[in-house]
Amino acid sequence: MEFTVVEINWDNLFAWPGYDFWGVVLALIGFSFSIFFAYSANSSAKMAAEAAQNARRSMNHSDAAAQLTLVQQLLVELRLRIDASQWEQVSEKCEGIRVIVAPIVSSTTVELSKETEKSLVGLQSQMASLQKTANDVHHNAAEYDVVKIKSILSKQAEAVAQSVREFKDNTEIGYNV
Amino acid sequence: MSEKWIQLSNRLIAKTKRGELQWQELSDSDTFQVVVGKNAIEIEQTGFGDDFEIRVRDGSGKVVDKFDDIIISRMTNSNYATAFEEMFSLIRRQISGTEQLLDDLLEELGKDEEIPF
Repeated sequence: MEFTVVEINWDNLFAWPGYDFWGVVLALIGFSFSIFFAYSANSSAKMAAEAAQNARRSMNHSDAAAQLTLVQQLLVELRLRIDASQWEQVSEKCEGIRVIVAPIVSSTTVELSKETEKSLVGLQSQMASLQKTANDVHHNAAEYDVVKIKSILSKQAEAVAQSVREFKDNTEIGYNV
Repeated sequence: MSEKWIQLSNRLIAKTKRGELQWQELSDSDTFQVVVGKNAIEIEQTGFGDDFEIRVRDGSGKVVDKFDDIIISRMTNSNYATAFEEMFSLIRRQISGTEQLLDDLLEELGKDEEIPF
């Protein structure tokens, strides 16, 4: 059995037509630069996409904060309407609050902490219950406990204020990133 | 569906007894709610005070399901009215702070439990 040893003739290796040592070096340097720039561009694109996502998140939180500020105003108005025994308007305002809060609770773009989510779902039930009470009082002259209702409204106002603070904090964090 | 009502009832009763649920008052008289995840559960004392209705609300506050102790009792051949009544009474005491007050008092008085008769 015979083995053939392959010999490399180094003189012939670089002797191909048009071979230029410095040309090859420059080509390699150019190739390295193009890889570097492509990598940098990719990183910049990723950073830009991340910044855009943060900006979008901040806008969503800012929007949610604005919506909940409106809910705070409606809760204040509810107290005044109850004082004035305007039960039809109480019912309408409760419905209004539910309509504002529902998209925030079900939103996939607004990140809610467990506590905020709990507060807002609780608020929805409270508003549904108050709406039922208001309708019963308005249509059937049902009895109601004004002290209890106002106490519930105060607790809800406190919970909504806490949620607004959380959303505002998240908005600021988003802008600072 | 009915099997889930039984499971839900059992878990509500057990977790309320262990004080693991944060029940809240509602403006409706004799109605309490607890928020669980993205939904809320209400219990209302109805009829002459011996019936109990459980309502499930979704995140928008809409009632998506409801049942009462009568239907659960019929399905299980057990007396769920008593179980719900005990739970309702416990919720009331938890909200008013009576339960905590009694716990504090018992802790202050120590662990001597001599039966006086």
